[in-house]
Amino acid sequence: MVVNKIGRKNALLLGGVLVLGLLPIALQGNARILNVLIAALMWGVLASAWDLCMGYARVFSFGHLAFFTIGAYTAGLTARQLGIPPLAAIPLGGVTAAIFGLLIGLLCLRLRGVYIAMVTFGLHMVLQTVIIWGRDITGGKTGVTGFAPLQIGQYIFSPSYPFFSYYIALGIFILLLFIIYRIINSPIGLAFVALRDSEPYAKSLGVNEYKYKLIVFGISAFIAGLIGAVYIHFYGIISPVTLDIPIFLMVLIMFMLGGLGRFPGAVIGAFVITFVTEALRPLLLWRFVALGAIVVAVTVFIPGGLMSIPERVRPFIRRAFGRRHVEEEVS
Amino acid sequence: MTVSMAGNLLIAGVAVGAVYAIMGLGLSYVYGITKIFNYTQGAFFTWAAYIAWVLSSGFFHLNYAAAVIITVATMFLIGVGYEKAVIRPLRRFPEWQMTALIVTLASAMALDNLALAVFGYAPKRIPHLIKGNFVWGDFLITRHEVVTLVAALAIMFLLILFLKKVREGMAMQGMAQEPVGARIVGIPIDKMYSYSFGIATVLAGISAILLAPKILIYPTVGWVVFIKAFVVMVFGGVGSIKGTVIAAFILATVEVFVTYYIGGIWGMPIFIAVLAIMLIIRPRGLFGTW
Amino acid sequence: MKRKVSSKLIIIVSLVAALAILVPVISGCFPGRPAPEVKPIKIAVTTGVTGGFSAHAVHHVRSAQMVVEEANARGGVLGRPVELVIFDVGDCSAGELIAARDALKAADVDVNFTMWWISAIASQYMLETGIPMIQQGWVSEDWDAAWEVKDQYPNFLFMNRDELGYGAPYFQALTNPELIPWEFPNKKAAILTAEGEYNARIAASWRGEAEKAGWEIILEETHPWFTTDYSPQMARIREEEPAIIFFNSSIAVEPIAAFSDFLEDPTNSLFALIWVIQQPEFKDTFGTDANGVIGTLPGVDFMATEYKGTNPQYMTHYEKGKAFNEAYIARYGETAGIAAHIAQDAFWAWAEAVERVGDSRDFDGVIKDMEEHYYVGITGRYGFDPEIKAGHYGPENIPITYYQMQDGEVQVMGLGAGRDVEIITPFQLPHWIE
Repeated sequence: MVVNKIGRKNALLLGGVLVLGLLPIALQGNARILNVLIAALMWGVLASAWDLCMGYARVFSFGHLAFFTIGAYTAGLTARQLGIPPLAAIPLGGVTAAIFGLLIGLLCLRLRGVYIAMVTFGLHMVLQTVIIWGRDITGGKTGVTGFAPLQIGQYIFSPSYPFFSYYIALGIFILLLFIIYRIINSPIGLAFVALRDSEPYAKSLGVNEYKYKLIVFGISAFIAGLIGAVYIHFYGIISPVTLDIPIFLMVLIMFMLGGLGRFPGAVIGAFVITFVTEALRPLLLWRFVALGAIVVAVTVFIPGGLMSIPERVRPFIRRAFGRRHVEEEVS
Repeated sequence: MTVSMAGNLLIAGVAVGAVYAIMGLGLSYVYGITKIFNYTQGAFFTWAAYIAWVLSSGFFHLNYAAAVIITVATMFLIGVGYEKAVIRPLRRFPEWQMTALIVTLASAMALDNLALAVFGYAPKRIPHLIKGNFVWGDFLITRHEVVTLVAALAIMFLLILFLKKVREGMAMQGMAQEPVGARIVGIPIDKMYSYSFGIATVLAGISAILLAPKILIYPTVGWVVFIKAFVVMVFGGVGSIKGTVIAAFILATVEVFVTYYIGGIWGMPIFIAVLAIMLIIRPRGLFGTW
Repeated sequence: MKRKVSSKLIIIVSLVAALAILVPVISGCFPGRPAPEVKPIKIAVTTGVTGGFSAHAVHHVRSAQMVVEEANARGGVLGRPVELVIFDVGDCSAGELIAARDALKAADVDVNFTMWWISAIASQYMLETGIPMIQQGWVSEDWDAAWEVKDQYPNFLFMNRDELGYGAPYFQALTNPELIPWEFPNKKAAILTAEGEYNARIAASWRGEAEKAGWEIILEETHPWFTTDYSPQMARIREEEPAIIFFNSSIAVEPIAAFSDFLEDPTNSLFALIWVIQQPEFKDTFGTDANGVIGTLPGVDFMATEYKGTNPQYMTHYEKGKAFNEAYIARYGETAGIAAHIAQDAFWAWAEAVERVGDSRDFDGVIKDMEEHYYVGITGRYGFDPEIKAGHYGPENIPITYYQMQDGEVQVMGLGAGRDVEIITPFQLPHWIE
C-alpha cells in the first residue's frame, strides 16, 4: 500500500539509492571498486545534467564538458589563489558555470539544433586554448593543483579515503539528481513534454520556449560546473585533458546509451560505461576498440537505450505469466 | 607583410579550403537527406587514407592511380555496408536519428582506436597525385593543390547536377523534403539511404586522398578534419551545397591568416568565433534552408 | 489488488536481484590470481599505452618485455622468475591515473617503472602506493610533484634530467663551430613549439641563450599537439630565411609534417629537432630526404653510428647499445624509440641493486643502494644524486648526444654538452642548403 502511494517509479528510485548506500558495506570497503564507483557517480551527475538539456529541453548542447571544466577551474583557482575554503569554492564553481551557461544561452538558444551544437562546442574549443594561453594563471597544459583539500576531521575527500569519499560523493549525487528529478517533474518539465509532443499547440497556449530553455540551460550548466568543482577537489587536479575528444565522447555515450530523455538512464549509462571501461583495461590498446564495438552492438539491439529494456521486456513477461489475460479482464 | 606573402597565404587557404569543402559536402549531404549527424565521417577519412596507403606504398605497391580508384570504390562499399548493417536496423524505431548519433559516435571511437592498434602511431605518407609546382613570379602553388581545387569544384557541380537532373538524385531530394510522401510515391527509401551513405563516404575518401599527402596519416587525423568540416557545414547552412563550398574557402583563409599572425593554437577558436558572429547575424548559416 | 502486490514484489525482487548481481559482477571485474609456487619478482610498467603517448609507450612496453625475458634467461633476479605487469594511464586524466594506481596497488609489485605525458600529480598518486617509482625522463612537473611528498614517500628516482639539455645547451651546441662548421648566412632563428609546459620551458631557455648571443627570433609560435599543417609558418620562414629552424616538439608526426612542407621549397636553414629525431618514425618516413636534419638527446644512443673513439665508457655504451639495437630490430622489425634504451638501463640498475641488497621488498634499502653505486648502461653512467633524486648530470655521467641524419641513418655527430663536445662523425652540409 505504501508503495502504491509513492508510485512504482519512485519506489524503484529509492531502492536504487538504497543499493548505492549499502554497496560500500557489501564491498567491505574495497578501495579499487569504490574509487571507480565515485568516478561513476560524478560522471552520472554530469551525464544527467547534459541529458536534462539534450533529452528533455531538446537543446543540442556540446558545451557541458566545458561548463564542467569551468566549474573545476573556478573552484581550483579560487581555492589556491584566494584561499577560499572548499565548501565555498564548490558552489562558486557551479555559479560561474551557470553565468557562462546563461551568457552562451542568451546568444544561441534562439538558433536551431546543429547551430546550437556549434556555438556551444565553440566554447569548448576556445576554453581549451584560453587555458593553454593563460598558463601563468591556469597552469597551461599541466593544470591546477596545490590547493587545500576538502577535509572533515582526519578524513580527506580524495581517492586515498575511498570509504569516506564515497558517502560524500553519494550525498552530492543524490542532492543534484534530486534537483534534476524535480525539474523534470515540474511545470517546466511538463512544458517541454508539451513542446515535444506538439510544438504549435504548446506555443499557442503561451508556452515560452526560449525562456524555459534558458532556465534549464542555466540550471544544467550550474550542475555541470558544481560537479566539476567536486571532481577537482576529489582528484586534486584539473587539466585541459578533460576537454579532449575521448572524454567528450565517453560522456555523450553515457547518457545516450542509458536512453536520451529517460531519467535516470544517464546514471545507468554512466555506471555501465565506467565499469566496462575498467573491466576492459587489461586489453591495453584494444580497450577502446572493444568499448566502441560493444556500444554499437548494444545500441543496434536496444535502440531506445538501456532504460527502454523494461518496456520491451514487459510484453514477453506478461505473455509468459499470463498477465495479458488479467489486463484484458480489467479493461 | 608583402603582397607576395599575402598571395601565397591566400593560395594556401584556398587549397586547404577545397578539402574542407569536399569533407563538409559529405557531412552536409548525409544530413540533408537522412537527418543523421554522421560522426563516423572522420573515421572514414582516416580509414580511406590508410586503405590508400596499404594499397600503394604500404603493402601491395599498386600503381597509384589504381590504388586511388580501388580506394574510392571500397569506400562506397563501406558506406553502403555500414548503412545496411548499423543504421538500417535502427530505422524501425521512433526518434532513431538520436540513436544513430550514438552509434556513429561509438563507431568513430572503435574505428579510430582500431587504426591505432593495427597501424600504430607512426605516421604514414601517401604520394601527391601530381608532383611539381606552378611558379608565377613570387607566387607558388603545387600542382597537387590545383588538382584539389578542381576536384572540389567538380564535386560541387556534379552533386548539384545529380540532385537536380538525375532520377536518383531527385528522389533523394524528395525524400529529404517529404519522407512520408516519398514512400507513398514509391521511392525505394532503403536504397536511397544506402546510396547517400555511400556517396558521403566516397567524399570522405576523396578528401583523404587529397589532404593526406599534406597532413600525413595517423590514427586521429580524421577528427581534426571532421571538426573543421562540421563547422564548415554549419557556417554554410546545413543542406546547402553552394554554402558549404563558400564557407570552406572563407574559414580556411581566416585560419591560415590567424596562424600566420597569432599562432597555431588560435586557429580553431577564431574559426569558431567567426562562426558564432555569423550565426548571430544569419541564424541559418550563409545559405541555410531550414 | 493484484496490482499493488505485484508492485511490492517487483521492488523487493529487484532490490535483492540488484544486490545479488551487482556485487559479484563488480568484484568479478577485478579478478585475483592464484598464487604460484615460487613467488616471482613482479615489476610494473606504468605508461600511456592508449591515447597520445602511445607512440612512445609502445617502445617502453616492448623493451620491458625484452628485459624480462632476458632476466629470466639469466636465472631471474635473486633466483626468482621476473614477471611483468603493464598499467595503462591513457591520456593521464585523473580518473585514468587513479584506476591505474589502484590496480597497481592491488597487484603488489616490487618496483614501478614509469613514463607518461606530463602530469602534475601522477607521481604523487603512484608514490602513495608505497611502491618505489623509477621515472624514465625528467619533466619539471613530475619531479615537483614527487619532491612535494618526498618526506613521506622517499622511494623514487628520476633516471636523468633530460629537459635541461634541450634549451640553452642545445643552442650553444648548434652555434659551436667545432660541431657545426657552417658560416651562418644570418643571425635569425625561428622557433616552432608544441603546446604544453615542457616544450614552453625548453623554448624559453633556448630563446634566452639565442638572444644573449645576439640572435634575432623572427618567429616564435605555439601550435596544438598533432598539428600537421604548417603552411602559414613555412610562409613566414620562406620570407625571412632564418639560419636555424628549431622545431621543439615531442610528437613525431608534427616535425614530419613540417619538414615535408619545408622540403617543398627549402630555405638556407638548419632544421633542428629535439629527441624526436631518435623515434624511428622520422627516419622511416624520409630516408635520405632528411639528410642534414639535426637532433639531440641527453643520454647516449649510438643508433647507426660506429664508435671509433677511445673513451672506454663510451665504448661500453656503444657495445651494449649495439647488442640491444640488433636484438630489438630482429624482434620487432624497427629501430627502438627513445623509451626503449632507458627502460633497459632503469631495470638493470635496479636489478643490480636488488642483488646487492638481497631483498626486493626492502624498498628503502634498494633505492639507497642505487644512490650509492654506479651502473654503466646503454645510455649513460647512472649514479643518483640523493639531493635531487635524479641521475648525476654531465659528460662523464650522462652526456648529451647530438645527431644528424646522414645517408638515411641517424648518426651521432658529437657527445658532450653545449660548447664542450667530442666529435664522433663530422657534420655534413644539409642537401637543401646552397
